[in-house]
Amino acid sequence: MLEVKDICVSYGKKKAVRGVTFGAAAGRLIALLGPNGSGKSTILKALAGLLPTEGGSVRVCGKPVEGYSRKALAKAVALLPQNSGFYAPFTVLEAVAMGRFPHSSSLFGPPNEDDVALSRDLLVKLELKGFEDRLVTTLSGGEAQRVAIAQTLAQDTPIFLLDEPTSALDPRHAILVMELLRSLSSGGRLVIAILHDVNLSLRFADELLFLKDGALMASCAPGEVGPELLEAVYDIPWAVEESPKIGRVAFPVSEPGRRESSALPLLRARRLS
Amino acid sequence: MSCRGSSDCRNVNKKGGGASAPFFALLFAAVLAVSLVVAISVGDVPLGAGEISRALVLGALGKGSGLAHAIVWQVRLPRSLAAVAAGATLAESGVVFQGLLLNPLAEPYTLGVASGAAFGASLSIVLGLSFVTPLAFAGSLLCLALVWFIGRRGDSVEPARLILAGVVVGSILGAAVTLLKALAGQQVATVVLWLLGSFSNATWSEVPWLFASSSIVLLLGLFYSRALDLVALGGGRAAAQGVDVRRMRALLLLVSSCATAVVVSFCGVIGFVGLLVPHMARLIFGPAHGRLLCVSWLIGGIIMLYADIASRLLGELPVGVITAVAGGPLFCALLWRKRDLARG
Repeated sequence: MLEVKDICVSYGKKKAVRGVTFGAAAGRLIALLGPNGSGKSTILKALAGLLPTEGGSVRVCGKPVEGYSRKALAKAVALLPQNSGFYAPFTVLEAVAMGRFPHSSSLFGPPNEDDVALSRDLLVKLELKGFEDRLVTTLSGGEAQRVAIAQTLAQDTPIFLLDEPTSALDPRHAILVMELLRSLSSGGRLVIAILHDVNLSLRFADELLFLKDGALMASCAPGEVGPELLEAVYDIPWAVEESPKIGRVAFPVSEPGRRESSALPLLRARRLS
Repeated sequence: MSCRGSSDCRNVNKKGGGASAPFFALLFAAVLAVSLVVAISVGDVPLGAGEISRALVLGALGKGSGLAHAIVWQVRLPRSLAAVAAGATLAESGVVFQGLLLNPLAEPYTLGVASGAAFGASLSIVLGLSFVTPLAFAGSLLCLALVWFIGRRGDSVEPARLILAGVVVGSILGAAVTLLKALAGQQVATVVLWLLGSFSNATWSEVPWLFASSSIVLLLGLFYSRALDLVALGGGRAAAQGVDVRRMRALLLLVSSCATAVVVSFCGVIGFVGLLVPHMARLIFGPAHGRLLCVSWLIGGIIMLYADIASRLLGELPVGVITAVAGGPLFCALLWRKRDLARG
């Protein structure tokens, strides 16, 4: 469903993504992991056709991404950008229904009944029932994040790309969102989500892609993720264990004094008297 | 989940101050019509409603003569219609600018068309040239081109960069206008009066241009209204949701700037309407651009009409002075009352 071949993306002289290749089939939930600045968000934007790639190719449903019009691509690929807040005080229901934009034939006028029904359904799934008439500008960070997720899901595309969908969420809502993404992939969609929570990835994803310095470091199933790989990706030792209840779990282990920077005091108090 | 009836689906932004848009649109249209009659009645020679309606009807039928007919058809009607269309254009352009640039301080003059027009007009007056309006229009378009050139990056324009470019070019031209004023000698009063804006010289030849400007911005804005909503909603999701943001932004900003250039060239630099009316309309109708554009057209027209009436009653005081003097405190009061005003 999605074929990425040797793509490179640069911001000016800085190469953010260097020669990444992978394929993703329908019905998969793929977690994209890596340290800050490793090119995860850049890859998602390139897959959504929002950033030009230098060389290589991105094919969506068998067709090169450049071959799509903006609106046609938005019917095939939905992207939730990172930390996407709200500016104008629309209501929650209005905001979610706006996700139907690529499917609507009219450029103006209110959304149709089916779109509103689908939006309401998504609000229920994301535990936002009762929020329909709230203004998006009055929501908490986590509520706003769930509204943004609902708006992206309202695009009803075969491919969903989500940049840190769980970053602002409490553990219960993070699991709720991951279960929702899981059900979407089980229903035949392709879901690629950038996650910093390795355990959520291990628990829900079919496949984990690890990026470092703009290059794909590893691609593996949750059962193949070991401490060596995680340490190589994040530059910090990890403990990986099998829990009888929840399967494989991983935790970063801090080693005081191991890193040069931790030997230096963070702040130094002066002239306090 | 099923939708609970069509009124539910219309999904009116209640908490955003949303109100029944068709009702208010009709109400404002009625207010505008009455205001037009009021505007025609006010002046050195007061006219009654009966005289006005007789003159209007007879004039429309191609008959009519006499003083009332001349005052209505040759002076006050074109002047009032010019004020309505100018106010509507500025208000709508303000809606477009604030929505697209995600900046509550954005207004039709953000890309420098006012400074360009001011420079062109001042130059024309100081040099004693007789084509103030063409030079003002040329100045505003040149300024717009300059701001666009500085503000763009590659093949796209970034809002913050564009606004900064507008501020810088505006400051430079503002200094140039000040210099021209210093060099103007006896002409300085003419320059100052032109800059402050007025409809006292408006004639029928300007009315079609002004109405065309306001109509183009309205129709283009309505055409893109759902896409505008997505951009104004914020969060950078519009492009991923199928909006060609770059193309829409370029098209709408350039068209509304050109429309504003027409207004400024004919009527001078009238402030506050383009900044204030979008905020007022948003307070009443919420942020959806379909409603906002229609209602701003009407509110902008009404406010400018009353500013012109006040101008006439106060001995042809410049309209720009009235909109600033009345608009400034009103804007402060709105800011005071509504914390969410700053939001697009």
